[in-house]
This record gives sequence, structure tokens and C-alpha cells, in this order.
Amino acid sequence: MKTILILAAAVSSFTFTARAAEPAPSAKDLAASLSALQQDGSAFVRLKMAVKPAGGGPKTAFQLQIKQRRTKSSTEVVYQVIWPKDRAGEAVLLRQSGNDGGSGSQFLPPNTLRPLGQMKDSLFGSDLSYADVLENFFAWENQTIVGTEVVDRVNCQILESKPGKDQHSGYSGVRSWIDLRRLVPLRIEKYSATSALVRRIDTTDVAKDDMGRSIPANLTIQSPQKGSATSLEGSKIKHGVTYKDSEFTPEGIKEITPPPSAP
Amino acid sequence: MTFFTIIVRGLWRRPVRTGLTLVGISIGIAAVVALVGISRGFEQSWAMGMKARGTDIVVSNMGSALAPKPFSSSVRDHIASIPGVAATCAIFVDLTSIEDSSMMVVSAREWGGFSWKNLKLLSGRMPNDSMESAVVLGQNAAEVLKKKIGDTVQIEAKELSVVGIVDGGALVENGSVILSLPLYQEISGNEGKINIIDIRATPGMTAEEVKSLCAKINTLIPEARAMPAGDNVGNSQAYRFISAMSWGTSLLAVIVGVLGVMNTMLMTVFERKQEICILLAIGWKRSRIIRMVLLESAMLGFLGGIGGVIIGTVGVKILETLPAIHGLLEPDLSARLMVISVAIAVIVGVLSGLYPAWRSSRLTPSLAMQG
Repeated sequence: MKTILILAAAVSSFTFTARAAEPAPSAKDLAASLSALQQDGSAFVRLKMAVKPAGGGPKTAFQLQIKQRRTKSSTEVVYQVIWPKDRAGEAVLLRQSGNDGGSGSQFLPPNTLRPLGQMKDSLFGSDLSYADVLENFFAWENQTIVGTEVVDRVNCQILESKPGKDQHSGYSGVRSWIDLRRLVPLRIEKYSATSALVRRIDTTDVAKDDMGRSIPANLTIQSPQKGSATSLEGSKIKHGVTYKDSEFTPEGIKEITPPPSAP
Repeated sequence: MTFFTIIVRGLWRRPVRTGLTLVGISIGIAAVVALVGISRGFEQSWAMGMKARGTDIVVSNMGSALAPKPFSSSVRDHIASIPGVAATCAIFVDLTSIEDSSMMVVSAREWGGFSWKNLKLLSGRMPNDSMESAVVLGQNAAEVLKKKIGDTVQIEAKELSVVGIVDGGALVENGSVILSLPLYQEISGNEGKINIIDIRATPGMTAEEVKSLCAKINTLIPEARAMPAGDNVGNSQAYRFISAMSWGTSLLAVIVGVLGVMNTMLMTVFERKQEICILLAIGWKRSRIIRMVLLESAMLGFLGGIGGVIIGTVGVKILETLPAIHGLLEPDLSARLMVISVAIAVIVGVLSGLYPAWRSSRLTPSLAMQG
């Protein structure tokens, strides 16, 4: 029995030593890697979104298709409702360049096309704002690792991101619980100027995408102040697709085009 | 009093403890039956789907995803020209969220291909041509999507009419949304792409000849891998992962069972120290004492195994009736799995009894006098 205990202790100390030897990335490096993963070129995404209103009313489900072109310095995203039938065709175009606050257009069938109001407004009545879709807080100036915590049995580094002077955001800071092995945030919390929790985003399913990278396959977004929640379940993602520039114009979002062919 | 009676009496001495130990083993074995049965059922249902389509060989590129990776449809023409290939049918199988359902199998088949022939119309009709905006639904798919003939179903951004409900002869077929390949290629942005080729070999080929044909296809086609029908899912990384998870979870449950039995048997040995010493004093050999303890723990395992098989089977049957799962599961609750599960339980019992048996063999008759 003693031998077994000694062996177990030796194995665990070796494992501990081996893990301790791996240098943890700095906050800046970690944020830069996550930012690069987020701003990863063109992609087509299909997902199901279910919005559960505050007070426990019936859920509203949507099938959405998302077209996006994300580079280090700019983001263009089109969200289009393809189901249910009575909302099909509703679309939102969001654009952000550099550190501007972002802008966009909304299309409501049959022919209402208007500029978006405020970027903090809700996307299709969900718990996501337009700003949430555009903002890449991993590219913000101030990044700090503020601790570690186990989320869903995974040891995560807590990365705190705060916007710099020239960076526009409705949030004073964002905390992300990062699974370093898969480089995926398993939880994100966004705070208001008064440090109140505005959004909490959790992932319970991490899957591999078409490029073999780990990505969240589902997200649950909670707005503690409102008491509502939105769940997103991804069903398809294609990277490296080719879009026409016209698809990212206010006129272009009036039409739902089929998913582009992957190369 | 026979040797067997002593064993039974030993277990019956503390009925609550024995009962709780049995519950522990039963739960472990129930996990084996349920999880392994479900994952093997999944594999078998794919194999049955292939058989129902009359497929001998499947060419696909099963990566880490549940659906195979797409490749050029020209591969089909190349394969069709290989001697030994009697017929081919190009397919695009996708797993996607449709309307309010989370994940559905969409099976897009070459128009006129042999994979359409096994579909038995239960109501309605088949699509009229390859580009008619129409689908037929497997009977379980119709139930899950809550659709009937004349309804519409939206795939990607395209609204398609449900023109028929079919029985495909296998769970996978019955859970699929079936439509023509060119139509799906167009609406899903996969023009010129397929991800499965069903092959019928020349009639009369033996299993060995089918395997040789697969090998020949694999040397000629680098884009995908040919396998005898039924083997392809078992070889996919995703299925292997699911299978490994099932066995892994079951193993954990079994380890808990091992510790439970070991604890019970150790307690039994400690409590019956005097009895064992007296048995040694009246001439029982140490090997007979070891046999007694091992048989007691093996019997615990056997009874726990039987209990586990019953709990696992009932549990899976209840799972099958749940609305969220109904029609999606076809577990393999075969006699073979039951026998394997009970055998695992008995082995677990014997292994758990080894240490207590060794402890009991070290007792001496003189200890009986010490009280």
C-alpha cells in the first residue's frame, strides 16, 4: 500500500512539475491570440436563437444566418432572420472601422430600410446588443489577468479587458474566463460604468469548427438587470467564403442569398 | 450446511449492507448497459440505414465532425468506372438545425439514384423532378418537425413543400429530411460537392472481394475513404469519441462499484474473523477460505449485474419514450451486451474480493481464542 502511495505521489508531483513548467501567456499575448481568433476573415454562420423574456413568457425562436468579414481593423456583419416565416427577411448590417463606435442599418420587410438607432439597442429583441456583436474587447488597450477560477470543471484564467481612452464602449470592463488549452472563453461578464453586471455569457459546449479550432457551440446570454435570457446554438460555420461587397450594403441586406460556397 | 449455504448466509448476515452494495453495482452496470447500448445502437442504426439503401460500400471522409467532409462530385464518376462497381449514388448528408428543432439529418440524394428506391411511401408522393422545391420526410422526422403533407419546411433560407412521408426501413432513414441532391446543393451553397457515395458491388461478391474493392478504390481516390457499409461510422473519429466516452463513463461507474464491493467484503472479513478462524481450526484450508470470500464477492457482482441489466434496460426504455428523444434512439440492448455486462459485474466482484480474500487467508486459528 505504501508503495502505491509513494508511486501516486511521485506521479502527481511529476505532473505538477510538468504543468508548472509551462509558462502561462501574458494578458496581452492571451488577448492578442483571442482577438486574432475573433477577427478571422470571412465566415458564414447558421444558428438558432431562442429568446426567453423576463417574467417567464413563451420563448421566441429564430433561425439566423450570419455573414461576416472581420479583419484586424474592421468588422462587417450581416444578421438575417430566415425563420420564423413572419419575421423572415429581417436583417441588420453592422459595421465598425478602427475604434469608431460602429454604425449600421436595419431592414424590415417588405421595404423599410433605416439606419440603426443606438448601438446599445437589442438585436432582434435578444439579450445581445448591436455593440456586443461588433465589439472586440480582446483588442482593447488594457488587458490584465486577475485570477483563475474553475468553470465547468475547467481551470480558467480570468482576463479583464478595459477600453482605452480612444476606444468607444458602453461597458466599463469585461471579464472573460479563458480555457487556455482550447483558447476559448467559457464565461464572459460585461460591466456598466457603475460596475454593475449587465451581461453574463456562458458556454457549455465547445466544438471544433471547419478549420479544426475550438469554438463555443452554444452561448447563453443573461441580462441580470432585465431578468431575460437568450440562447444561441450554432449549427454550421464555413470560413474562407467569398462575398460580394454589395452583400454588406444597406441595399444588399434586403435579399437573403444562399450560403456561399466554401473554397 | 453446504459450502454454498455458507456463502449465501455470509451475504445475508447484513441484508441492508448487501442490498446497498448491490444497488451500487447495479447502477454501475446500468450505466454500461445504457451508455454502451445507446452508442452501439447508433452505429447499428447507420449500418441498417446502409443496408436499407442496398449499399455495399460507402465512400466518405469521416473527420472529427458527425457529418462527413464534402468533396467534388466528380469523384463519383471516377468510382463508377472501376470494375466491380455495379452502381453508385452520390449523396450529401448534413446535420443542421431546422426551424424549431436543434439538429436534423438532411439527406440529399442523386436524382434517380438507387438510394431513393428503398423509401416506402406511407403517404403523399415523391418529388416530381430534381429541382422541385419539395422534400419527403422520414416518419420520425415528420413527428419531430410536427409536419404533415402540404406543410412547408424551411431548409437554410428556402421554403420547401412536404410532399411525402416515407418509411426508410432504418432509424437514420426515418429521422431524415430527404430531398434531391441538386436542389440541396443549390440551397446550401454546395454546388458540385457531395460527401458520401453509396456503392453497390457486382452481385455475388463475397465479403473479402468487397474489401478488396474498397482497397482498390482507396488507392485510386485520395479525397475519401471506401469502407464496407456499416464500418464507416464505427471508424469515424466522432463515433469513436462517443464510444470512448460511453465506455469511460461506464468504467468510472464500475470503479465505484468495485470500491463498494471491496468495502463490503472487507467489513465481512473483519466481522467474521472468529468464524473464519474457527473454520481454519476445524481443518478448512486457506485456499478454501479464499474461495469462499471470492465466491461471495462474485455472487454480489452477479446479482448486481442482473439488477444493473434490468435497471439499464428499463431506464433506456423510459428514455426512448421522452418527447425530446422519441424516435432518435434505437439502443442495441442485445443479449450479447447483457451477457457482457453481467460478466463485467462478476469480474468486478472477483477483483474486489481479492484483497479481502488475501486478508482473510492471513488469519490464524489462534486468533479465534482472542475474541
